[in-house]
Amino acid sequence: MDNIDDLKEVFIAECYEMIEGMEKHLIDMESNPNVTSEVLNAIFRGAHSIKGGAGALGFERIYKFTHGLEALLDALRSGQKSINLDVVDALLAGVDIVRRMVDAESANEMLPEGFGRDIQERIEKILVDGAQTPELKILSPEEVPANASLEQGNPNTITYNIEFKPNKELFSTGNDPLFILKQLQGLGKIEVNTDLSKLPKWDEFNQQDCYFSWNIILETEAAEASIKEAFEFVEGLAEINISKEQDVGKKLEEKVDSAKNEKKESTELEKVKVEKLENKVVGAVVEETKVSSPHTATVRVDVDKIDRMVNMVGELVISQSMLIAKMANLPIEMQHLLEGNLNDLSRKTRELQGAVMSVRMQPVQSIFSRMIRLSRDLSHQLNKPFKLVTAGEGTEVDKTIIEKLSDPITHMIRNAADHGLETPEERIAAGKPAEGVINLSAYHSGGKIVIEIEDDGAGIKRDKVLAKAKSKGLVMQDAELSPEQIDTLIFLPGFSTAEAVSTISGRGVGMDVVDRNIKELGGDISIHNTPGKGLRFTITLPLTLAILDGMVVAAGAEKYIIPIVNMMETFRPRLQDIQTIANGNDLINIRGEFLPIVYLYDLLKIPNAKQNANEALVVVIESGRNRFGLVVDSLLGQQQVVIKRIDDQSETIPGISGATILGDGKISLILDVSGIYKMLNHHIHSKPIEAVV
Amino acid sequence: MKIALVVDDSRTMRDLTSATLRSAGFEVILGVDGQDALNALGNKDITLVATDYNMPNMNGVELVKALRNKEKYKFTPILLISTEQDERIKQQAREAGASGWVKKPFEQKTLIAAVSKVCGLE
Repeated sequence: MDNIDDLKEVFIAECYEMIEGMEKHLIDMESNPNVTSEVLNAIFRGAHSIKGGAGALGFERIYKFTHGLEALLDALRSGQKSINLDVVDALLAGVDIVRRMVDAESANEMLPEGFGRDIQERIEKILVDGAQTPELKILSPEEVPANASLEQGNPNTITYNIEFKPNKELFSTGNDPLFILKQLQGLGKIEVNTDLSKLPKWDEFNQQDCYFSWNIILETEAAEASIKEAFEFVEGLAEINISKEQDVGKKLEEKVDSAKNEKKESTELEKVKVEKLENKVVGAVVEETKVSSPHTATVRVDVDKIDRMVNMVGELVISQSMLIAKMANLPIEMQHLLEGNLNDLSRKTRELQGAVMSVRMQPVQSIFSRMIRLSRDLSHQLNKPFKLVTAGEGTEVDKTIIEKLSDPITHMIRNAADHGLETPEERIAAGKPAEGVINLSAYHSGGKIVIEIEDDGAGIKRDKVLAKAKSKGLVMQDAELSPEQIDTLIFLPGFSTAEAVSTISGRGVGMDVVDRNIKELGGDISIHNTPGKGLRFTITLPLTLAILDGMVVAAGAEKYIIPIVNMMETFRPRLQDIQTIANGNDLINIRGEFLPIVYLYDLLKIPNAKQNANEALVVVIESGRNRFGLVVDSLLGQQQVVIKRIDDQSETIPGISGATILGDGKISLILDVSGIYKMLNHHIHSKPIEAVV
Repeated sequence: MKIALVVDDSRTMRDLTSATLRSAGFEVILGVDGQDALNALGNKDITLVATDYNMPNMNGVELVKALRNKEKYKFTPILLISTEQDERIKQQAREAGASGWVKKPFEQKTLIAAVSKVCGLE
């Protein structure tokens, strides 16, 4: 890491990490009156690290500003100043300034003169206001009035007489007189006389003790300060007398001695005062267990390089599929010959693909911390006290997905805060705690990533939603919809439940936009509504954008792909298990549970397909938290499939999420199971769709 | 072969210290805090320890104490890196058995000078 630009990048990345951490703690502090010493220390360390790095790399502005933050944080963590909301607010404002400064450095931009001055002054004011004068007045060695008169600036050599008498325990600090002597040797001409008089007899000899002392004569042009400097680390561990071979010698010795005594005194004073202060601190704050930070060695790689690798692995997967497909046409003996190796190849390709994809994975923490900050600001702006509780920040998601998740999640949290959560008065009237809660969590489940946003607000008012949908012509007037079906109406384009265009959420941030964003990522979003109690959105995303484990199914002469992760089971139903509902979807009875079913041939207008479920196959599909059955002719086999998005249309094909090339070279469409589920509810497939080739 | 144990919770500082020591011919073992450093160290032979003070889990002074408690590292040169405000820290470090200290932020040559005082540079 010798390149200064690399160091700058590392520093900037680290700054953002520190800033995130500090912000999270500070926001926590606003709602949690029991501030632990660990939290204060963590925030202090954040500022300390940024300041240290800034100083080391010459970022003056950041150094100066963080210095002020650090000073206040130090006072807070040592108990000298007490924390209140105003202080926390000032610190948050300070962290904002630091972030803007780091942004500027990162973009190589210049900030205006005096940027951040007002916040800096605010912080200084807090520090100074009613502050107890620090009890410790620390004398640094430089202040000890010893050397002032000794600096002669003499260009000629002076001969010094140096007495170096280490204490017995000098070695226990890891110091070695040898190196000190070597350093003195580097200053000029040196003569060393070793005093062995303290060396005991063998049976009393302890090799951990230092018995030697030295008398050194040094002829040097260097100032005495340079000699003292050699002994810097053993001050207090040895008797050190430096005198010039002149009459002045004696006087100087005295001065040095008295200076040493003064220092000893002040050290004693320090000790007592530190103890007093520590007693105060222990009484004032609560101890807590410490949190560890992860340690990773990192390499910086261009995102383009990774993308190229992902593509190459994708092509590799296709080639391998074609190989396997061709193998099926060979005579059996040849198949047996090649089988082992081809399976091996398959497995290794899969591993390679996993490894390459994981390079692009990042924890969702970066988004979550932004949401925490957003929630705090929203809560103030809306005058609705609420908390954002996060879980699973470490869950890893593909880098490209992370960037695109930010907007939809932001929208949903804004909506939840603005429309979902009631005002404190309403909440109390409803028997809820005045402070609302929004849960934001992420976890892996069955080969997918799940992100949930749940609020404990009023939920969706179904009668209003239905009325609105009907009035906008999105649903037929006489349609009877189940509660769940009504809930999914909010995903329809052009639907907005906001009474007024609020300044927070902006114009109709429709859930249809969110739905589309999630869909573009190959994921899906579902909703669980409990009117009066709350609302939960569940977003599921594929682990990778590029490669999919698919099941090839046939309907008529066409082949389609169903993502394996969405498939639960497959069976052929008996006639009596199928129930037809007028004006609705057919239902299938599975072990007593009734699921709606969709006929693929009907959905996509495929000719020559099997029309009766009991003669075909029902594939039970799970999309988010919803399940339904899909009727297809047959299953043709599992295949690893490279997803090629069908690019750029003004209207996406409902029910289709992409395409791929099968082993036989033909193109096959990938089914969008969440889209199909939504179509199930809205009878949208009454819109004619051209037969898909 | 000279090996240094470099401990700091700041990546920037770890990199800077390591780079400086490497240029002086050291190989480097890294730790992000005292506990991590002890884990990384195990029972290896090292020439020098350069540690920050302010770290979570186990700070620099605690690390010095822990090292001095081990027979193997009783006499290993240990440098504590801390900022100028922490004169008390220097005292604690000395009492814990640290060999010397370097003020942060430091110039590379300052660190090298401190290193040469406690373990030489050959």
